[in-house]
Amino acid sequence: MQDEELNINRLIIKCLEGEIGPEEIEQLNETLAVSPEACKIYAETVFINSQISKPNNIGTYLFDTEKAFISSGFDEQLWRELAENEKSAPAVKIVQEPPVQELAENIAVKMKPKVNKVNLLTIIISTAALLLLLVHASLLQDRVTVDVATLTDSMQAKWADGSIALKKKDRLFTNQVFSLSEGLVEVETDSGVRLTVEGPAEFQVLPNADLYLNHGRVYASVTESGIGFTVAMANTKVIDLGTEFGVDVQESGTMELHVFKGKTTLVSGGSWLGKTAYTIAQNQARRVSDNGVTLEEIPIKNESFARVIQSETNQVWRGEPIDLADIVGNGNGLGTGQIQADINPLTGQFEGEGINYGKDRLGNGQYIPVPDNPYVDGVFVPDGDAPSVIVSSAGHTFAECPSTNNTFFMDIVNSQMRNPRVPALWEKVANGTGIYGTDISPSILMHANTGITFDLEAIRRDYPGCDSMRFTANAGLSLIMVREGNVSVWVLVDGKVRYSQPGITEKGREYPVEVMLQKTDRFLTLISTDGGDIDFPNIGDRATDSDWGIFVQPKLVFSDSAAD
Amino acid sequence: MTIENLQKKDPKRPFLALYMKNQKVLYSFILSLCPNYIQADDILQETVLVMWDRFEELKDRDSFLAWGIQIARYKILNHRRKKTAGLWLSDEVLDRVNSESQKCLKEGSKRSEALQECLLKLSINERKLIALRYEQGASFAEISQKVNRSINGLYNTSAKIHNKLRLCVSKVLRQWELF
Repeated sequence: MQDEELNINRLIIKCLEGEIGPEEIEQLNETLAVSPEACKIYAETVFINSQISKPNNIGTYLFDTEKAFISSGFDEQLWRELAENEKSAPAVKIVQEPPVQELAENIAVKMKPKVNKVNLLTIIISTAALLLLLVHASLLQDRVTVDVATLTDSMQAKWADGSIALKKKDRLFTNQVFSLSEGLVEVETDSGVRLTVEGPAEFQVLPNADLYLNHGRVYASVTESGIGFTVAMANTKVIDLGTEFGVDVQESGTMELHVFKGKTTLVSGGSWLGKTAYTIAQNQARRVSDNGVTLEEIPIKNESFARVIQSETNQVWRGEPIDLADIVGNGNGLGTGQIQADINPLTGQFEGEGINYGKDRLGNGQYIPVPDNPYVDGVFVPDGDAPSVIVSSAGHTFAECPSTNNTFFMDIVNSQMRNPRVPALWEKVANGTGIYGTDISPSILMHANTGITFDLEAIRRDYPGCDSMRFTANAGLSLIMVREGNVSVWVLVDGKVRYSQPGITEKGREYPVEVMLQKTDRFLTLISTDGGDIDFPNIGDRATDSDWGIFVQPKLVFSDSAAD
Repeated sequence: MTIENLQKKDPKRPFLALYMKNQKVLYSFILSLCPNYIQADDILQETVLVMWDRFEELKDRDSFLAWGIQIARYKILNHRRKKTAGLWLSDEVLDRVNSESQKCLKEGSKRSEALQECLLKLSINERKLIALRYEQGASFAEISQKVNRSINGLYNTSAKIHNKLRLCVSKVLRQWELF
């Protein structure tokens, strides 16, 4: 970095002297256009010059050169020092000073913005406030050590010999190098940035709560207060513009940037004078190599970075789909739920013993919250004859709800039912299309009439970077039940019907469901209602009899991740 | 026309005193937007001439500097419009460096004081080179011919000295903020 400072100074001095050439002017203009730090250096250097030089004195050449040298005490030591500098100086043609007018004409070059044709990408300059963080920490002269972040979670973390071994709640100080040999740690900076660092990695936190990454993998989730957060590396910087992104730096210096949400500014280049700023947007990725000189576009790897770690459950989320059946089993969506666990739509309780299955029960006309799982907002028994069918804690209603007998036969179940008398009720190959309702192919069994609402906001909070996501599943009528069934399935978002398949009577036929979700969508509701058969009071003749609605592999899928 | 001649022609001593007090800042402003000594000198002289001619119009002597900067800005724009030689800063860059330069000017007196302290921290030979070039007025070409060294080497040395001074000034200002 000091070489770059000296280069800028050199160009400024040459310019002041009227000795700068067209290429150098262009170089300096380009640098000043993209680098606020260069502008600062320019202003400070010119100010110094204005203080030490004298107006109307420079260039007059009216003094006695010989006397000036003698009086200045010019000596051999200075000559030797100049010789040392000359050894490292690039070759330059010594120009005879032309008359002022001619010199001025040479300098009057019309500037054109230079476009790098090899790496022609969008060049966007962010606000001065963001780019003030562009400079590497080595330019900061203050070596005061301050704490700027906290270690919030740690999973199987091992620290290198000689490195500070951090544990949960430890504060991270500047001017310290942290070497994580293996495992994962989560760090939260005071500026509102959450980082997941995966070892082996070596990093430092910088005074303005930025990060210097020598090598390793880091996932950054930046809140609004943290916009401008910068990850600095040897020859590259990534500046956040409101985003989630991952950076992977190899020990060779090759670096990959993957942007999952929002956009970043990537600044790369071997030296200041060659640095270029690029905007890298959502679902884009770049590789930088050759000391920051070569930049290439690469496919984004959606599930390659550890985004969230949960040390209590020893789980790492890398952006893979969230399993809603697992959540019905009181899990976190990553496989911690219980197979065969169920939620009672009358109480909102997780019924681990399978007590209330296989028995007709009347709904209570209420929307019941589920406090034991943060991702389930509530459950209910839909009945279109009721004054309104509330489907969320925010009061959304299911206006299109058909008339039902207000009866449900079974709780809402994660996969296989737990009744030993009836094992594997829906674990059967359906026309060769697959096996449903297992831990391999999880499903939510929703016998009519039941409904369940998931809290997307809570899911987004714990699984960041999922502004762009969709709900996918295969809906249908379970193959296993004995008698004929007739079920309708619905998918609502904030009370609005986004998918419906009425009157499903063909057992085992899959109806693909895909519902795009916006970041403002709050609640996702899955509902099954009887298909409209006549309701006789006799057991076996109810409208709900044999209406085993099922959502197979119900998932929240993020960005371009594969659904299956 | 030099300042000395102006003084002989019309001994407006208030003007001279005001000018001498504000000359450095005015020159700093011009040099920041027109980083070429010769052109900056030209613009400074044109500015001073206008200021001299219109001195009676200035009612508030306290705004002498602001008034001078205004005139200088006009002169600089004029030069750019005419595309007079040496205007190498693009319009976009001009805006950027102008805002940074304004910060330096605002704390001009503090920076000058800090610079004085930092000049003393230069090595003897570094001070000699600075004195030779900026006080004695020898050009780099003349110095290089005299010592039989390349101009490029001189630029490198000068760049190191300037960078050293710049970093020193920043450090001194920061230290002063703590007390």
